[in-house]
Amino acid sequence: MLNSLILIALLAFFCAPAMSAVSKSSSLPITLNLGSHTEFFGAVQNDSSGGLRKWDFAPTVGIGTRLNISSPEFTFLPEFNWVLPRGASSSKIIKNLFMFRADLGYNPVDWFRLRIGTSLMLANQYGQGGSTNMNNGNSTSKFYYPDENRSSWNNTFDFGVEVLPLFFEEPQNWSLRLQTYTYSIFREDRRQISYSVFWTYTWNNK
Amino acid sequence: MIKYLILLILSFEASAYTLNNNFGASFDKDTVKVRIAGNTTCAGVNLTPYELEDLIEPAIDNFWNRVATSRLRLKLGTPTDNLININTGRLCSPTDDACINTAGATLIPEVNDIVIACNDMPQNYDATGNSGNVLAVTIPNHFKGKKIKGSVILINDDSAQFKALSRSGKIAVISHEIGHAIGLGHSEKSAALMYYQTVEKRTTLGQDDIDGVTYLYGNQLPGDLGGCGILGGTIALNGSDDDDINPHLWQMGIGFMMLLLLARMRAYFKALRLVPRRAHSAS
Repeated sequence: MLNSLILIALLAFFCAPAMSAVSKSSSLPITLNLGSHTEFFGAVQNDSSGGLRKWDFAPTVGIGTRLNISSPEFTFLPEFNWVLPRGASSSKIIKNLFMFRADLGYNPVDWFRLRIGTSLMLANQYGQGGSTNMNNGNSTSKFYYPDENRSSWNNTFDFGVEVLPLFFEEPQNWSLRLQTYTYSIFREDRRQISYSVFWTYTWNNK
Repeated sequence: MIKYLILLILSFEASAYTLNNNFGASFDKDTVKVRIAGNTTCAGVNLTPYELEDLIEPAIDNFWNRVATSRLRLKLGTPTDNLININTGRLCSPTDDACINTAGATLIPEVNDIVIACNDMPQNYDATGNSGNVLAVTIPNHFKGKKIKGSVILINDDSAQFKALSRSGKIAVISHEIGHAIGLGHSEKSAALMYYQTVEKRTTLGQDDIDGVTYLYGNQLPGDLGGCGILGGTIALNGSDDDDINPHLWQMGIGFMMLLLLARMRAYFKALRLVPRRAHSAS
């Protein structure tokens, strides 16, 4: 947990000047997302007594922009997010999740935005190969780690709510967001919902 | 600094699943049938063939068929014909010479898909015959190149422990063996179905199981239709059922339709003057 927090702080520290520089050279707002991603809400067993995972701390970073669509209430919000690789130093498998996203944003009021959109999710796993002896019945057997780079591509239907606090400054440069991603929306047996919680900072906000 | 960043990145919780072979083998089709051996009897564990099928269905649907990031779909099939006899006797994999040379032992018949039977021969579960703790076993798969053609699962018909398990416990054991049959090995994590032991309560897959089946059977990029190569989503060409159609493109279409609908609604409400107008600064 502490490592993850340190990593997020370091990423923010390094990314902020870069974002600022990019936004100054462009007329578009640039957003930086920092947050955590929980995969498959309530559908993953996380202990041996049958408990289901409701929350997971998976550090996520992302970058995006905002395009106005004919009126200030509606915006087009493309972004790219990256759930940082998960793998212990002893692990032979490293997992990345990349999200290529686009939302339509609707601001019914200044401090609140509804987002509806879609994502192309790339779940990538990189196996470093090797084997290990593990318990198997009354003895042990050799099992193998993956040794290839393989990906699963998935499309999701997304819904999000974003709060843009007005208390501190105008225009509001930061926001908090709950973003959900629904997999296999038309297939009840495989329908799963993942979600992210984001803190977003916007440069060149107009 | 870069070194520390990499160390930090690599220190998050790890995937720890394994595979049961060293070449990442998986079934060569997206829909795999799970069927019981036609003449199997599970008298030792007090199950009729109907009751065994009644355990297999949730073992499929509540576990492996729920993974949204996997294209693998398991289906309960009709029992095999009676020519495939794996219900009695010592069964050997083709590579196990010691087993093959044992009197009375027979080679595992080649099967397609996944076949489940009850068998009470202790040596099938433990070479020394001390099979009491072993509830079931998946005999090494039949491969063709890097592809699995079929797998055989034997339930220990001589196991008092399997007999004593609750219904959900039996379902979890069968589902675990199906995990082996589709190419997975064990996991170090007790939250995973592929952990080597039964646990207090098993409700669904763990993250390791999901990662493993996603590695072996990940959904393909929309438009990847093998030789056809046209935009069409990941439609299972080799499947015969309508519900084998992967809904990725449908979802994407619905997403953008919703965007358009919202834009139209805005125009409609604006016409009715229900959308608040904002003051724009003069340029």
